[in-house]
Amino acid sequence: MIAIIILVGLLAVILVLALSAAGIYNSLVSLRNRFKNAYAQIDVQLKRRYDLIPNLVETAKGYLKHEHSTLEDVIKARNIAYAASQTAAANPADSSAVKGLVSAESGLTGALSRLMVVSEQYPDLKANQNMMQLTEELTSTENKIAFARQAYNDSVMQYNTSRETFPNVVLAGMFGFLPAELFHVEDAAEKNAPKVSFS
Amino acid sequence: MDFFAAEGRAKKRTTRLLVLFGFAVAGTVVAGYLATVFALQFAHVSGHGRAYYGQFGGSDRYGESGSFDLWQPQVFAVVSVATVAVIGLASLYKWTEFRGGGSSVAESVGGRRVDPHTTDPRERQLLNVVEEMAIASGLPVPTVYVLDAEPAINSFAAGLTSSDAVVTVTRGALQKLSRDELQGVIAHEFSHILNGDMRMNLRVTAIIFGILVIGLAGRATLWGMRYGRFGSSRGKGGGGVLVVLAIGLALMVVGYIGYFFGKLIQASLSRQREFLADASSVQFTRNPAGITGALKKIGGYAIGSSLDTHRASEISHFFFAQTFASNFGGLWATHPPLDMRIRAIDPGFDGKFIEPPEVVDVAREPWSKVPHMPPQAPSPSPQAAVALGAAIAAAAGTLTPEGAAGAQALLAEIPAAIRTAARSPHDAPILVCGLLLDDAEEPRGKQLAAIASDLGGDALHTLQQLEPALRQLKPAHKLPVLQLALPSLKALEPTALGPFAGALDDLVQAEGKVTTFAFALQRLVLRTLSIHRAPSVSITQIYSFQAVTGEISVVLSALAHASSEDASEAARAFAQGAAQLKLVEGKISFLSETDSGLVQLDAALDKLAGASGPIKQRLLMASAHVVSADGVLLTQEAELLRAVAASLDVPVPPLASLSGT
Repeated sequence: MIAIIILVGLLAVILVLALSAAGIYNSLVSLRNRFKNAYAQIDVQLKRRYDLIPNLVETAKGYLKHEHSTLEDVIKARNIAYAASQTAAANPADSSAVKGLVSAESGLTGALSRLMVVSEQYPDLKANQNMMQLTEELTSTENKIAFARQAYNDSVMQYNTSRETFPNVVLAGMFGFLPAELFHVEDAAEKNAPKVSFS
Repeated sequence: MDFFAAEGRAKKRTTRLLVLFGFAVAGTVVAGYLATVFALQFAHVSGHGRAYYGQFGGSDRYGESGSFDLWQPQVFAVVSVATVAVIGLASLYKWTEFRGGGSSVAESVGGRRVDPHTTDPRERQLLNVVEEMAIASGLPVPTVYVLDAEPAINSFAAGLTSSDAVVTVTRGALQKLSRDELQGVIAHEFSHILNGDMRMNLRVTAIIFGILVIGLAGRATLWGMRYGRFGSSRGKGGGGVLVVLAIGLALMVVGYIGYFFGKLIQASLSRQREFLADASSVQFTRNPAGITGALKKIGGYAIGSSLDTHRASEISHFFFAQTFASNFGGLWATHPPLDMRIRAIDPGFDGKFIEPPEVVDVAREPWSKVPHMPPQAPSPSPQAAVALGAAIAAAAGTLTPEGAAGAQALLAEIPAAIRTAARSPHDAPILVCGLLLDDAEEPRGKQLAAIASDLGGDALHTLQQLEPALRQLKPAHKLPVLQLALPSLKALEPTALGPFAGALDDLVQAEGKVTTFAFALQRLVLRTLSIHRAPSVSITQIYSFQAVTGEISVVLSALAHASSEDASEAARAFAQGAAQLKLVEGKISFLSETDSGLVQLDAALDKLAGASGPIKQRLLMASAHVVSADGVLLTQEAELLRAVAASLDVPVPPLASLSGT
């Protein structure tokens, strides 16, 4: 009789342990997927920016007849960054390709901010419906890039905290949940994204 | 602010409140159990309980000694199962109301889905901001809705899961908030989605509803006893009846007390979730200025975050800011006070809200959808006269695009300083007093003294700033200005109403005579703010035209005299109006000017306020025919007509665009 009670008790304890282990495992998986998704978003938004820039330049061209070099700089920087992103995508493990992308991106950001400063002086351009739409889209894309990085870092922090706290740390080691790295912006210029504002 | 720490604090407090809520539910069960046990004991003592007790299947615990056992597992099991079943069923019922997901909630309050390919710049920006926040919070992009009919600044998120979630903003938020502020508001809503606040709130609401059902069941039992079997069971002795009665009463008390505390905990739970969402908003945007800016604008605009939709009160927990005024020191408020929320993010907040911009942008006002029309020369021809009367009556209570365009043109003619003052809850009462000022020096001095004594010295200062604009104001525009100011007056603190009403009285008295404008102003203000000088108005409705023939005569005669100096001309106008009231045409008579003065009109309108809808409608129609009989709408006619309409609780669009003075 006593043996049966002990057996049932043991089984219950094992069941509770198994259930909580499954819970911890699932929560770690969902946290890991969240930061992976955040990372993918950064890529998506960078591509979107490459697509937007030619349209923006095309619209601005009609108004900025005397600013030809500024416009050409933007297009050139965009093409360089696009090529760099292709190389980086081809070999994601190659750290020099990633570094090249980062510096190309900061070059593009600089060229764009110069264009924005120049177009400040053309009220007609600022009032152009198409231009207003494009700048809104560009602002939004810049924001999305920043938010994607931030979301990546926030979710990495959450994931790391979760996998390092007590009961989880045991399972994390067993199931191979490795610590994740934070995203660091390497170039100082990159930290100061251009403020696109026509107000 | 350290938003991670703030989020942690809010989450901890939520847990504590949820535990408290659990205790409340458990307490309800225990209280119900105890009530049943005592009721059974009572029945036993009165000698008829054994049979009832036997139904619970227990052995006889009530020995000859008369002692009784507090712990009766069978009773406890029955009571707790019954309670849980009632709460469960009630919860299920509430749950089905929301099973349509977030979009059904948004559509039920009049939301319009924003087309993902919209080209409207504001909507485009809104969609972009929502996408940005979806990325920042790591959630799927929700469907976006706009409440086109709401000029206030507010928003809500709805949806039981993040996949069926929707985000809804009011048109006011779309127009009045900057990009950063909108981002802060949307980020706040994303926090509600991320933290599953709607699910939690729905669960709590459902459980509270279940507890309420217990109370209602108790009440129903009591009512049933009162009207039902009392007579038949009296013969057999009252024991059984008394037991049921006691249980019913106990259930009612337990249910209502549980409901009361449940609601209290729910409100405080909701406030904690708001703090959490505000902190998360900063986490997502990394820009405290965005959300604090939005909160400051809500505090600064007279209309704030209050919504018109009646349905909004049911989902008030989901909104960005309070949707209704809350009493009892905010115990029931679903949101913490604005300044507290701002201070939680920015401890250095100086308490200054963002006031609406100095120059009111006419194009962005609520009627912005109407294409702008140039102001038309107001010169109605006599031929148009017949149509005018019908048009006024038909226009009552409706807003047509033409009317809106006229109002827009009218608004543009009113000096900007006055429009700004009319929209500020602080300046509006002073502006309204300023409208009553006489141009002549002698009464004006007395009036200024009255303002200073009733509203304080600051009011005089404000008045001085408004004076040049007030002198420019055309007499015909005074009434529209008053209408602009009415919403701001509604926002006045209850304590400020007394001095304001006193000031109006003093101003009119200082003038020596009551003008039609002063009369209309007082009636409109008092009606709007529901300050009744004398509570003598009968509350019984009058359904018969016959009962108010005297009053109708007074109203129509007063309007007729206002329309023309010439007695025969006035009589003709009166006849035109009277012809509209076929039922009593023979019984109403044209009164002399002294018998239909403002004093008589005042009394007549008080009585007519209690008349039924059809009477009011016909009377307004007749009044409109009287004032339009000669094809010209004088300012004083318009003023009196508006006073009549306000007293009858029938809103009329601004008429000054029709005025021919």
